[in-house]
Amino acid sequence: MSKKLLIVDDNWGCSDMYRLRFEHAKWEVKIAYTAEDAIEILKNSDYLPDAILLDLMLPKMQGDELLEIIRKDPRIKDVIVVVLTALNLNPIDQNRISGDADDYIMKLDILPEQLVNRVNELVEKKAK
Amino acid sequence: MEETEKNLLEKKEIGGKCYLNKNCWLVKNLKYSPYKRCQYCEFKFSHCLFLKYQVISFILIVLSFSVFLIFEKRISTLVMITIFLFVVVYGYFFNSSTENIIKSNFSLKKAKSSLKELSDNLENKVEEQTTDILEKNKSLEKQAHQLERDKKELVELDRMKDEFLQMATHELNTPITAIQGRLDMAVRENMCKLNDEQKAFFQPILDQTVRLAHLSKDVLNVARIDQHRLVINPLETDIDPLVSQIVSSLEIKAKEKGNSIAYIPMSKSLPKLTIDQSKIGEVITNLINNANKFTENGKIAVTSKLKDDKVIISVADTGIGIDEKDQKHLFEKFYQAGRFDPNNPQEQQGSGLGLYISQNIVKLHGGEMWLESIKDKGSTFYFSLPLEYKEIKQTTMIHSDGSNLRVL
Repeated sequence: MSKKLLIVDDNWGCSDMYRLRFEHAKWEVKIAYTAEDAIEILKNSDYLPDAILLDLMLPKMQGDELLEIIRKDPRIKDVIVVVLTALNLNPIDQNRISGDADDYIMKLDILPEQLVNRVNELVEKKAK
Repeated sequence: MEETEKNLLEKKEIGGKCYLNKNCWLVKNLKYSPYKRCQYCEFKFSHCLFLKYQVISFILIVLSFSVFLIFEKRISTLVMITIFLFVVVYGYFFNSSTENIIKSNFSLKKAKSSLKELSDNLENKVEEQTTDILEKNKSLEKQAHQLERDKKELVELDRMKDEFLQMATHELNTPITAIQGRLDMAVRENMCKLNDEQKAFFQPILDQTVRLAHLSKDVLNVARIDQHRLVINPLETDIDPLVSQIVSSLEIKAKEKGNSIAYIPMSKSLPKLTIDQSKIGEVITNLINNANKFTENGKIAVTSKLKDDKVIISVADTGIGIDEKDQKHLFEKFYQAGRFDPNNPQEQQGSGLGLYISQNIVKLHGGEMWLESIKDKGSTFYFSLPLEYKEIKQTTMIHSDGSNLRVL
């Protein structure tokens, strides 16, 4: 059974690029362009992703708020969440988020292939 | 007559103080009369005490005559002689003392008037200066208000600039990520099954995109350094595995240019350092990439050693070296040493920001960065990291922390 990924990113260019790469690695990918969309998708009790790629800067509700909601929901609180940012976080925000996120990565620092490997590693580590 | 007038004028000119002043021509020549007034210096002789002497003498003489009429001859003669003697003696002393008194009285009066004049002047001056100072005070206050306003404006502008820079970088980074990701998948991973010709066509686009991505990151870092807002997140770190991991990850890249790369720990075991792992990693990567860029079919050696209270990490290459005149400017931002190789134009010069950023990251850790280089023989870059991390206070005029940076 293929692993499931939810990408939460309002930028079509990035989310589609990551979709392409993960699908190439045989992942099943869903995309939410807003945090509200993501909540709607996650409400479906049949759908439990293995990992979520989360952009912090979203149109209405911000990524860190969504992260908080995810961590509070008992059904999905253990999902691997990788925060992707377009900018370096300053240490204050970094510390705030690193408690909740499984990893956070600056988009430019990582190539798609490396990202797939990283997410795979995290998911497999958790499965153990 | 003409001569005397001239003489007089001269006297006046030298400020000939009149009366009893022996310089006064009038006094000298006319044997002053107590009832007149010196027409040249306007001193009133009638005011002089000398007049009092005349009055007293006159009263005494009248008195003596009346005594002569009233009393006997002998007594009257005696009284008259006494009075006469008194008048003579009194006159003599009075004359000389009067002269002195008049003299001092006069100079006193003059001094008094000049004192008055002076004090008037002084008062005026003080008043003038007080108004002046008050006015200046007012304008200073105004300036202070203006400065306060300007400062507020500057802080606001600075905040706006920072926000703009962050937004701009963010907006730039997003499409760059998408382009770089897709190109990397197409060219390096060959997901699109490109033939060699197509690959050769797309490879430079990928290279340039990677460069653009670096540049975008560097520009934001430089802006943060210049605003004293580059913040590090120091954690206890083992430096040995960090360096060896970076070295091995860059091995392939070095081999592409025929360079061998090795990590040689010079000290047996290095203590844990409190450093920002990713930032120091960036510094080491930058130094190795630089070494690789300017070395061909040579060696790159990365070493680490404990010296006194710090760890020194060095990256040495056997490349083209750096001119002495370039060495001192190498850490300036946007400085490009004249190391462009026209035979190998694909080997792009950097942005000239890498060393500037690296040095500042090292400085934020309390360390230093320096280099040794011999032209055509190679270069060695060193940086030190103190064993005990102390937070470096960054001085900034406007903000002192990065807390207002937004989560992007």
